[in-house]
Amino acid sequence: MRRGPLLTAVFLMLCGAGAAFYLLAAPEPVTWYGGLLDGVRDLQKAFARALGSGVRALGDPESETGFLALAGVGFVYGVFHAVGPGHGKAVITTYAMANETSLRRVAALALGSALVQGLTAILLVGGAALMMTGGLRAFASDAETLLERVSYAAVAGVGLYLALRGARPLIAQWRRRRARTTLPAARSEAGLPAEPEADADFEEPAVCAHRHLPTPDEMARVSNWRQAATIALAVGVRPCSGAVLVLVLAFALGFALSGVAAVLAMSLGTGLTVAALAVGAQVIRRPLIDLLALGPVAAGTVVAGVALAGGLTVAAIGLSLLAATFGGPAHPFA
Amino acid sequence: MAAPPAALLPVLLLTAAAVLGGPARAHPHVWIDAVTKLHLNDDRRVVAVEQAWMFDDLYSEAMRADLDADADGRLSKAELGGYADKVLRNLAEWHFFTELTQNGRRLDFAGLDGGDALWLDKQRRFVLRFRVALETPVATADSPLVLRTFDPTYYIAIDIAKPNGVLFSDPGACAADIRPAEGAGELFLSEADFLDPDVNKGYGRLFAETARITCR
Repeated sequence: MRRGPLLTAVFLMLCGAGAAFYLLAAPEPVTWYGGLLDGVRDLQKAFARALGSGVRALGDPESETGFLALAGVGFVYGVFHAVGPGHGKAVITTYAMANETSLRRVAALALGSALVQGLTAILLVGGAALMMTGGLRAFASDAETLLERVSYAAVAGVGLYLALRGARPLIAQWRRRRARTTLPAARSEAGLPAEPEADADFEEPAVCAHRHLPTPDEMARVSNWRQAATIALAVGVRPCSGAVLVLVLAFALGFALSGVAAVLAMSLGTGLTVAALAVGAQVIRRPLIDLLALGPVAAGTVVAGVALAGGLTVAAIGLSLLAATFGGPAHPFA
Repeated sequence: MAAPPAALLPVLLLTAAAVLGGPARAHPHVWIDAVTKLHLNDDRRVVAVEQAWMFDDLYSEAMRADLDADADGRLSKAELGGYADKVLRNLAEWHFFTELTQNGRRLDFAGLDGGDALWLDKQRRFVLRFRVALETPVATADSPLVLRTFDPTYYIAIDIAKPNGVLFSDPGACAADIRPAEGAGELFLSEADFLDPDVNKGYGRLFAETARITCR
């Protein structure tokens, strides 16, 4: 493999650059990121204030634009809410990073999962409001605890499924190679050179990766849409806590429709931010794969390996979150 | 097959998962401005901690509307009391979100010493108050106390109220030096902090301001 030294050189250069960055920027190498998160945190706190007074303003007969203002605040709250860490974003960007799919589909997945989260909150609080007056928040919290577990388990399941899909070509390849190891003996018995086309074997999956035959591609597209829908549901079954609070307040004060509009605006804001991140992940995916495929490993193997690792990552996120819901006593305010 | 890059991939992605997945559970949905008062005995030893937590507008308004079971537009003693009892009972299992250390050692609480919830009509804010007694009164002349108030899960972000967030029953005797949170920057330096299963450490601690308290 003639590309080996080149790749090693690139890799070492990257390591060197990373180490230099770390040493030069030490002892606070990521202060700017911490500063960014602190800023976002302050903004979010301000939005909690704005949302509270926004719903309050709905009851003010003087204020005629209360409805629009609240939806506007909801939208911006959503945008910034998604800048901080969150489970939906982690799952969706990992999926976008690890799987070949269209940008449109990635964006739809992000928007869809945010919308499902909003709708879950609307159904939950709306349903509770039909059954009872007051105590909506306590009811919603209990339901959230349950739905949270359902969502995390589903995320873990989706991750395992994605990992299995990634592993399938790798297993097939391994089987082929194992079959081949028995081949040289037979060849030498027949008086033939032991390994006539070792390189060609490696190239084979690369061809697969770069030239899709129409039919499997179309099939992949359908299954990708199904995957996306499943992920959106898995992520979105857990309602957004911020949305639940807005709805509890809006329903209790008798502004149900304004509350629903605000939550939909919130979902749109969150969805757009996550979509931007996920589309970014999908865009840098191709060059990264190409870079990795410079090495001795065939492109097809790299693609499958990335898909496998991505699936395992999603599964790990789901499982760790699921485990966390069982560890420790119930949250006093949730 | 000798393939360092392919072997690196899972490592890279799992690192990404640790960075994304750890904090995935943790972003605040509720904000509190906390006023903490330390009670001293005649020997100027700290004997109890009193917390007053003022919730953000959204949570405040939502709770005011939602706890008003008889829908008379006012929160009665019973409606507030029911809420406070439930929350305080649960908080006991979380060290009351209050960490008081001396020389790096955490001081134990003897238990809840009363508490209630109230609605501030002028500010339109919902408040939870409670007091916990220390198991043994502690002198601070030799080494300062360090106070952190935080929700380890970071579902709630708790800030020390400004400007006077830390008070003393004997105002002249003590002083508090409030320092900003370690912050998210720490996240990449000490992963152990959020992998720690101990309920009292946890991710939220990274975002807790610290108050160093010394009494003469």
